[in-house]
Amino acid sequence: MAINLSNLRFSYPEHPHLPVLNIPFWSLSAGEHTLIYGSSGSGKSTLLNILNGLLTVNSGHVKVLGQHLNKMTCRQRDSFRANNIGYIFQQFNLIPYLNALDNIQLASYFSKSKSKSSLNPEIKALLNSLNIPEKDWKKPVRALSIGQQQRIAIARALINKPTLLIADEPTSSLDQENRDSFMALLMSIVKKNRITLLFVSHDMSLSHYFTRVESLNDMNQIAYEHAN
Amino acid sequence: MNMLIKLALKSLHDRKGSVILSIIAMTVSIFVLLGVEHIRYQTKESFANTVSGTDLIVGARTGSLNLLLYSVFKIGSPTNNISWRSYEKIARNPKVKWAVPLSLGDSHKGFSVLGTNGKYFEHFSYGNQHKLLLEKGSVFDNVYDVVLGYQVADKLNYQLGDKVVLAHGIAKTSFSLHTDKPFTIVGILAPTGTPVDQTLHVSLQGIEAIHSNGENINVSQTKRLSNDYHQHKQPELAQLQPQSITALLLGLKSKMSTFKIQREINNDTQEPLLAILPGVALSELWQMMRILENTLFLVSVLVFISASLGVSAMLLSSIKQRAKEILLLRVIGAPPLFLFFLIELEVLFITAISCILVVSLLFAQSYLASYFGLQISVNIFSINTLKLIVAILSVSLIAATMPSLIGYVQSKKHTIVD
Repeated sequence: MAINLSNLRFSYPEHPHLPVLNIPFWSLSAGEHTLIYGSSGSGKSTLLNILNGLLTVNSGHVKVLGQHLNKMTCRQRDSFRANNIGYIFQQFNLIPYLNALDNIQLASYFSKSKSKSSLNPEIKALLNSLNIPEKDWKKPVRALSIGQQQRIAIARALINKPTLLIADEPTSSLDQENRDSFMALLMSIVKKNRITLLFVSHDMSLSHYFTRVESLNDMNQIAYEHAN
Repeated sequence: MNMLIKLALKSLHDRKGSVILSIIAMTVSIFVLLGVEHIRYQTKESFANTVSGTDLIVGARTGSLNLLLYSVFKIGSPTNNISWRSYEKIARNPKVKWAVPLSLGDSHKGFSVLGTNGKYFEHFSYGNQHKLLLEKGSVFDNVYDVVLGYQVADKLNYQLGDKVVLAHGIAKTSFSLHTDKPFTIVGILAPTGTPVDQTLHVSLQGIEAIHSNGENINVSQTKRLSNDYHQHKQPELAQLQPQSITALLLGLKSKMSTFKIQREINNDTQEPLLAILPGVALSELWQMMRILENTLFLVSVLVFISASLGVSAMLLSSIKQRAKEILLLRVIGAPPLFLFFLIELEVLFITAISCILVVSLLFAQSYLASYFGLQISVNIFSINTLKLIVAILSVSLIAATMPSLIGYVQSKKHTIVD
């Protein structure tokens, strides 16, 4: 199992009486490519931040890649995230004033598993495989197109060889053409490296890329509680 | 290069505008702080350097500070003269190695004129026991010879052989010029960075000659000075025998007898005299200046603290703008402590760059000053300056803990906009 959630309850400390998530049970097996869809404000990003260990739950169990996240210290979660989870946002995946190489190096800096000597050729191979022309490697990433930035974001998310890749609406800021090539690229890399993919979007038209499609509203009992 | 340093430098570079303004504010405040310290040090140094190797200064009874100021620094005016007899009596004391008479009160274009004898050039020393050196020419030999301090010659553009006219009093424009008795420049001293540079040196006889009425004394312009001041066999020079002098500098054979001689002079029954130790009088001077110094220092410290807080405020507002950057760093695995150190490091760089700018500015200023002969260059990397720079860096780091802690806390609890 890549992810195992049971009796998960979460509310932000600022609003303790306004629960955001209540998931009795949910799991994701290794190698699955799952799309979770939901409208904005449904708690998608909150769920993802619980899975990557930035947020801790009020009660229940969160097991990611066999590790109990709520039994780890803050520091352990930070290095667990750096070593095991790749993460792609909708926007701002890269430090805008650093170039592509530096951004990817920065990501590998926080993961202690890498030997630094093999790092540079690895980054270059990764950028090449993602069709980033070499002349753009040393430009500050803010000078590049959104499509290129999102592809560098894939490289950044993959540099530490994660077993779980979480993508939070990575295609929302792309146009149709860029979106299709991004998805094709992402899926081929994920398949090649046998990475478990958890993809969150409000865009149902992407569902044909995935082996499993879920609605967050079905998972999250809060929606029913509100309805009742 | 370490990733943290690289990130801090590039992020500062990315926010050039506000960072440059912060560096300027920081530079100005550190300049004030180090500048005050530098000037304080320089002043002390140059005061302390003015006289060395002199064991006692003797003058008419007055305050010890007053005596020190008018005899060595040519500041203020003497209350009274001391008689030639007293001078001879002290000079004959077997414990006295040398005695140099000083006669003040005349001037030339605002520079003071010092009447003395050849022993002055032999025994007067400044700084670390440096003797006076002649840059050009020789020591005065005739009654109407004058030896110029470095700056007198430099500012008034005098050459050897030029004639100068001395005036009574010390104002720049005097009503009683001694025009009938011009002096010939025979020597120019090398720069010393002390009031000697601003002094014209003539013989005691020269001073007497310009103050005599000129009717019954007729000394030829080339009259040689006798080497023996006590027994004037030549009638012309006997006429010029000074009756009184302003002060005298004493060197003793043994430092051990300093206090004994001082007591003897202070208890002299013939004439009310005062003997002072230059070092003791100088420390009295520091005590008087300390309040002023401390006030200046306090003001500059406050200026610096306000600049540090300004930089912290700039970083604090930058944290708000960088919320997404902080979130990204957290997601790729940066611990909150990394964010704390990142912000501290940015402050450290701003302060360090400002310190480097200030030190180079001060260095340039010292260099220029010494180039133009305004003062001797002083080593600006004194222990005090280094201590101060370390203190500056520490204070700025402490001031930066506020934005750093906020960055830490924000990155730790972190909430994302959905």
